[in-house]
Parts: sequence; C-alpha cells; structure tokens
Amino acid sequence: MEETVLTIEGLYKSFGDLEVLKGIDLQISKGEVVCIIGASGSGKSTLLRCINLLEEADGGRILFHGQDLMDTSVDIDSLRQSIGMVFQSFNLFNNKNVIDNCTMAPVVVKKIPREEAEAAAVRNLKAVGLEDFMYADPNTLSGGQKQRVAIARALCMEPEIMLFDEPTSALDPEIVGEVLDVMKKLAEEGMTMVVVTHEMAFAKEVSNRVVFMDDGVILEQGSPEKIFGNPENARTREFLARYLED
Amino acid sequence: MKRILKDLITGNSSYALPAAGVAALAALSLLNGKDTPYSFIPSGSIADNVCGILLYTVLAYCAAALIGKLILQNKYKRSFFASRACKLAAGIAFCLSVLILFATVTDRGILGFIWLVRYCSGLDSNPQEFGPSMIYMTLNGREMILTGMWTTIRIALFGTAIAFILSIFMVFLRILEPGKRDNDFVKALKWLASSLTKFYIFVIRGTPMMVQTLIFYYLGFDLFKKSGMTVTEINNVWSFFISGLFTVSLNSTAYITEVLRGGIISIDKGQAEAARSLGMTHWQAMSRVVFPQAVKNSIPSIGNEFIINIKDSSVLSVIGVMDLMYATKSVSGIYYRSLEIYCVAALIYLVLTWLSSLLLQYVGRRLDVPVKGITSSN
Repeated sequence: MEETVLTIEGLYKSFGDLEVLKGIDLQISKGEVVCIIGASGSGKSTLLRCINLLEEADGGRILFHGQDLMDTSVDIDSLRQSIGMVFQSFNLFNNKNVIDNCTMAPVVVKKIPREEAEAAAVRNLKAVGLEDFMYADPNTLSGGQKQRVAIARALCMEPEIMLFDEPTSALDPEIVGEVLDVMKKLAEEGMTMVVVTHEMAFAKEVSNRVVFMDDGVILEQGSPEKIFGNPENARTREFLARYLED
Repeated sequence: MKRILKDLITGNSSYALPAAGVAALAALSLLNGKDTPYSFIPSGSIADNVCGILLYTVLAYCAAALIGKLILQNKYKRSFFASRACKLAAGIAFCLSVLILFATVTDRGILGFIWLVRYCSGLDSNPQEFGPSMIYMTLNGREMILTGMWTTIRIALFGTAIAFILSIFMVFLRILEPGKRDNDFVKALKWLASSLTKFYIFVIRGTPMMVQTLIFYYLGFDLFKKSGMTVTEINNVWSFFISGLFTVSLNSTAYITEVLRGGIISIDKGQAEAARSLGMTHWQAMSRVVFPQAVKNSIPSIGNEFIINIKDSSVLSVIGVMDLMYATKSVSGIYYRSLEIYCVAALIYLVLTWLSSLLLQYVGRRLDVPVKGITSSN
C-alpha cells in the first residue's frame, strides 16, 4: 500500500450522555477510496465530521500526515485547506453566485489572485459539467447541480483528501447518478476519498475498501468483494440483506 | 383592474349598483355640506339642484333594486332587474354618481379645504370650531412644527444608523463563545465581553426610554461639569439634541443587536461549517458568509426600528429636545388649546411612519426579504 494520509486511533465522541463513537481505529492511504456504510445513527457522519474537526472528539488521535489534529496547538484552519468536505445538504453560500462560491476560499484563505482562482474555478466547474451556470444564483439550481458545485468548490482548494457526508441522500433518485458520476471520475483520477453513503452499488463499484459501522464501532472492513460477497459479521449480513432486498 | 372597471361601467358587475349607491350617498352628504366662495356648485344653484335630483334618483333606483333582491332572493337573476335595460341603467347610475362624487369632492372637499386654509390664515384669533382651530394653530405654529418634524426625522434617521453600526460591533461581542481550543485568557475575555453586552441589553430593554433619556442627559451634564466646563460650554457640547440622539442611538443599539443576533442564529449552521471546512477562520466565515446573509434578513426589522424611533423619540421632549412632540406642546401652550394640535401631531406622526413603511416595503421587495407591518413600540 502507498503512504498513509490519515490515521485515526481510538476516537471517542459523545453528545451529552449519548456515546456516538466508541473507539474508532482507521487508516486511509493515499489514493484510496473508502466507503463507510452502516445504519442511521451508527456514527458514520460524526466520524467524518470529527476528521476535520467540525465536531471535536473527546478522546483519541487523528493524525494527518503524522500531525495530530486534536492537539490544540495545531493550526486547524490551515490543515482544513487540505481536507475537502462535501455535505449532505450542499451548504452552498447563499449570498454568492456559483463561481464566487468556488473562488471565495482560494482568494480569502490561500490569497490566490482572483484571476487565477477564477481560472481554477472554471476548470473545476467544467469538470463537473456546470460551466454554463457560473453566474447562476445557487438557489436556482437543482439538488444535483448544487452538489456538483459543492464538489467543484471543495476541489478549488486542491485538497489531498475529500470527505463526502452522504452526498446523495438529499437528492431525488433520478439525479443521484449525475453526482455519483462526478465522484467516480474523481476516484479514477486518484483522489483520496472517504465516502459515507447508502449507495451500495457505488460502494461496490468504486471503493477500494468498505467499512461497516454499527453503534459507534467499526464492525468489519475489507474489500467490497469481501464485504458484499462474504461478510463475516452477523450484523453486517443483516444490514446488507435489508439493503439488497430493496 | 381594467376589467373590473369595465364591468362596473357597463353594469355587468353585480357590484355596479351598490357602488353607485355608496358613491351617491357620499356625494349627497358632501353636496349638503357648507359651500364656500370657491365653490363652482354653490348651494341652491341650478347645478346643485340638478346634481341633487340625479343623486336622489340613483339612490331611489338602488333602493328599489335592493328591495327587489331581498324579496326575489335566488329568482333575482332571472327577474326584471337582471334585464339588459336594467344593467344599462345600473351602468349609467354608476357613472353618473361617480362623476358627481368627483365634482363634489373637488368642490366641497379640495376647494373647500383650500378656502378654509386661506380663511384661517387671515384670522386674528384662534377660531372656536375644531377643524378651523387645527388649521389656524398649524399655520401659525408652522415654523415650530416644521423644525420639530425635521428634528424628529434627523434623530430617528441618525439614531438608527448609528445604532446599526454600533450593534454590528456589539453583536460580535454578544455571540462570542469560549471554544475548546482557546487558551484560558482568551476564554475569560470572550466570556466577559459576551456577558457585558448581555447585561447591557438586559438593562436597556428593561427600562423605559424616558428614564434613559433623563439619566443620560444628567450623567453627561455632570461628567462635563466635573471636567471643569461652564454651563454655557456644556450646553454647546451636550445640547438637548446631542444628548437625545445619544439616548436613541444607545437604546436602539440594544434592540438591533438582538435583531442581528436573531438573524445570525437563523442562518443555517451548514453555511458556517462549509466555510470552515474550506479552511476559513471563524472570523472569515462570519464576516463573509454568515453575517452578510444575517444583515440582509434583518433589514426589515432594522427598518421597523427606524419607524419605532420616529414614534418613540417623542419621549425626548422631557429634557427639552425640540422634536415634533415638544413643538406641539409649545404650540398648544401658546394658544391654550390641546386636543386640536395634538391631533395634528398624531396626523404628522402617522404620515411619517406610513411613508417609512412604504419605503421599507419597497426596499424589502427589491432585496427579496419579507417585510412585516409596523411592530409594537420599544
């Protein structure tokens, strides 16, 4: 395997009395596409949000290239530049048009000249097939278009790793495909990706590794062939059976 | 709109007759009012009599149709009253009564008012009647009233503007929250800033503006006095106007801060999270993503604060700020009449707030944010 980008060791997180993550260990290598599956409430999204510190974990370590993100002396803002995130509810900036959504962070955070940032934004918008919507108001776009803009926006920061938090859960079944296609292309280009998803077909086809989470712990992980074809854990089998029925 | 008018004129609309009746009644009551030297339909003239006869005819016809409708109920639609001739008559009745109404409004209303104003301006003493007395006092006190109105507008406008700027700073202090990654010193500072602003808002919102007006005025006066200034010097620097503006600004700051805080809270958390996930600092995410949206959504409420300030600046008259309220009081004192001139003041306040809310609605429509009506006062 290649160089390790992200290492999570013994991660704990609780909201009040509710323990959401109960000791998570996970390693992500460069160029790997990891899909995290599991029932709602199993802690998948929380794990993802802990990785770039949108939620602060209570214990454990998150090493990004060997640097512990949980260490309070680490400049988390600069590290987040290398960790792109795509949300379930898109979260495009409502007060900006499409291209400004893409250029804001590069200009404000990375201090890239506006022309350069715009050129990069155009390139990334083209890659997601939205070059015709550069000056559109995000609120006029469809869900699938919004999510593709959100992906382009994240790519404009040239991240090393992309986190996807159920990127297609808020979309109509018919337009899920257009977002998954973009993600598939991204995976083929060698982007390191961690995808929390309920799209089992996507996980089966695109990922290198599937992680099954249940009740705050990782119950099983392995190649998609193994997880989908021959899961060891009874709980995994039960969960997948319910999905394959649908 | 055009269609409705066309149906009324042709009598096709079932409202043609009722409208004609109402117009005729209004025109009759105006026509029976006192005429003035400016009237082109003076009482007792041929025109006056012809209009009267026509209006009574229309009224009689309307009454007949109404009684017919009451008796016939559901059969009305197939009765004589629904015939083409009757529809034509209804259309004519509508046109006729509306035309006469226009004429009488011009004659007894507009021209009558102009004559009354001319008449009152020539009087030597305050007339006994209510209306003429209102006009007489307004005319004679116009300089004071206009100065007062101007002061009221300035205080409301500048007060709200200053408060808006101050509350932008204050809301940033108000929403500070000690984070897990802050060191203890920063944590303490954040807690202190947030608590102090919270306390400020608590005090300002929990006390009457009249009390604040008096406290700020005398507090300022005492402070300047301690610095060794003479009373004349103090009156130049700490004038009633400045002190009043100070009070309104500080008062509105508390309210607008809460408005902005509500605006910030109402912005989806995902907006800030997306900004942070791209590497923006807390400050960058607030100032470039959350805050512009919050301010835009708050504009209607800030405009309402302006309208409230137009009304509530009237309490500044306790220290002698020469606003509309104080001017009205002064005029009332000169002429020993109160009710009439306070009604004038109410009218002026009403026009000011009404115009402001129209402006606000226009701005709201342009910015695509919903605007509520005038809210309750502070």
